[in-house]
Amino acid sequence: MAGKAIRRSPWINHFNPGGCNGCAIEILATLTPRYDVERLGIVLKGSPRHADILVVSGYANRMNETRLKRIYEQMSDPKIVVAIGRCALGEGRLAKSYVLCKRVEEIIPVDVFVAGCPPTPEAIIEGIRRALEVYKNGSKKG
Amino acid sequence: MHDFIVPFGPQHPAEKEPMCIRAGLEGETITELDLRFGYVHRGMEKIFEGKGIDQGIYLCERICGLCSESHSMAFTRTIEEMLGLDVPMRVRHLRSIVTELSRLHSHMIWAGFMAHEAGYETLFMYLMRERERIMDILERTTGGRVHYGINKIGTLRYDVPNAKLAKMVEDVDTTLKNIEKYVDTFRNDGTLKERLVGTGMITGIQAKRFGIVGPVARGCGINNDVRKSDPYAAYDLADFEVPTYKGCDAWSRTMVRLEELYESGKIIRQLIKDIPDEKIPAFKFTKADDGDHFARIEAPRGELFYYLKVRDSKIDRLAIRTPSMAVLPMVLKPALMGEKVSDLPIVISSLDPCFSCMERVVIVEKGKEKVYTEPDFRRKFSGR
Repeated sequence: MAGKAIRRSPWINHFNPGGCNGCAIEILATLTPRYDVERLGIVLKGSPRHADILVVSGYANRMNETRLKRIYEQMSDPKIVVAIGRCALGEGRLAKSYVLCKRVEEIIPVDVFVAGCPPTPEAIIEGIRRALEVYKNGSKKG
Repeated sequence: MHDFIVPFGPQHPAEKEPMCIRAGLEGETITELDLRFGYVHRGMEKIFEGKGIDQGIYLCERICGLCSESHSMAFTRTIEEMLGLDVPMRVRHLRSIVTELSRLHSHMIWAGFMAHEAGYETLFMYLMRERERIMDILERTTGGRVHYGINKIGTLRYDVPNAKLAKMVEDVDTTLKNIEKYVDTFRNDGTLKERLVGTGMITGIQAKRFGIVGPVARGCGINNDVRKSDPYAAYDLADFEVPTYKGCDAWSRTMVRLEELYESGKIIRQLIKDIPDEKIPAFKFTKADDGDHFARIEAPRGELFYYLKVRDSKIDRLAIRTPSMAVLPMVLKPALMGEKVSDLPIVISSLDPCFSCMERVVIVEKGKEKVYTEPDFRRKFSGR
């Protein structure tokens, strides 16, 4: 029952653990009238406890490592993680910085990666759709 | 003294970027503040070291997603002035136009946020809908929605045809006409005025003492705009005004930014009208002599300062002072003290913070005030 509700209307929570803001404004653009993901039932929620999908944009620096883990732990099962942007993939020039010690994948399990610097809103919507497919198939590999 | 502490952040629905404020409250009034930064620190300045100069343009756009064009503009201005390159007029015009477009979209996203924090969710959605038109122009002309990558040293990556420019003027005019209603709401709406007038006061004396820049300074009556005082690109050819307000509060800052939207529109219209028809040169930068230089430009949030040192045609040191860095750490405390806790998101939003720009390492020695003069600065960072 709960699974069906999540598939029809996933609630997302966004956390930026050290990105450049570019992905964050594209995620914002997906929520606003042009792309309007609310018509698909996707709603942005402030608290991770309400959310089904965690959208992470950017690298995690040392300051945010434990926070990202805690936000993931606060979410109720079943939980899906979508990592947005090239930084989250662990590529790019920023990867060699002295503070960015870990990729998002090394801290929490990630189901879907959306590549791009930054990805377009269409790609982000597609990423969330694939995340729901991952959930439907019952496997945690995207 | 405080009764209890309210933590705000680092993950908070009212903030799109992680920051942490612990506000000590007495009743509803903020009496103590504990500011914690560093959640988006990425060590950008260190990453630049040892990179080629043309790689620097790619990298410096990634400092911030909102003012990415300003960063690449500042970088190219620094390196071009250092090398004494003569940049063709058409390139200068196009650079100014793209910068103004990025200012439009940055201010519109900010105006939307301001409405959102004040509880005007519909106004936020309307403004974001209009903003998409500006994003379309940027995508059409530069190929990117957030990071444009149009600047090259001494030239542009590609020319923008005149037909596209004509369409651009049309679209900017439509957008500015459509948002008039929403600007009027900000200007005249009773509830918004009630919330914004007198909130987050920074006095003119404080503003001068802290050396703050950009729309926050202009909201305190300080006429401070690099586009006027130290013109770059094609700004000396454009006729525009710098709006200043003397209210020193959140409402004045709002009005300054909203009027800047129309000034940006004015600049874009003039520069497209006067744009010379010439061929832009091909990119043929090979190597640079050793040396250092600094330059500044006006980003959407204020003065953006770049210091660049080159050795063996590689970036040896890049020091960046972003406008948020100049404004936020100093101003946040005086602006927030004595305010109601419910005004906290409004005050922070009215300062228009950009944390990914801001997270630099600054050494503050306790009890000792240190003033760096220009020779000191050069000696410290260029080893002379």
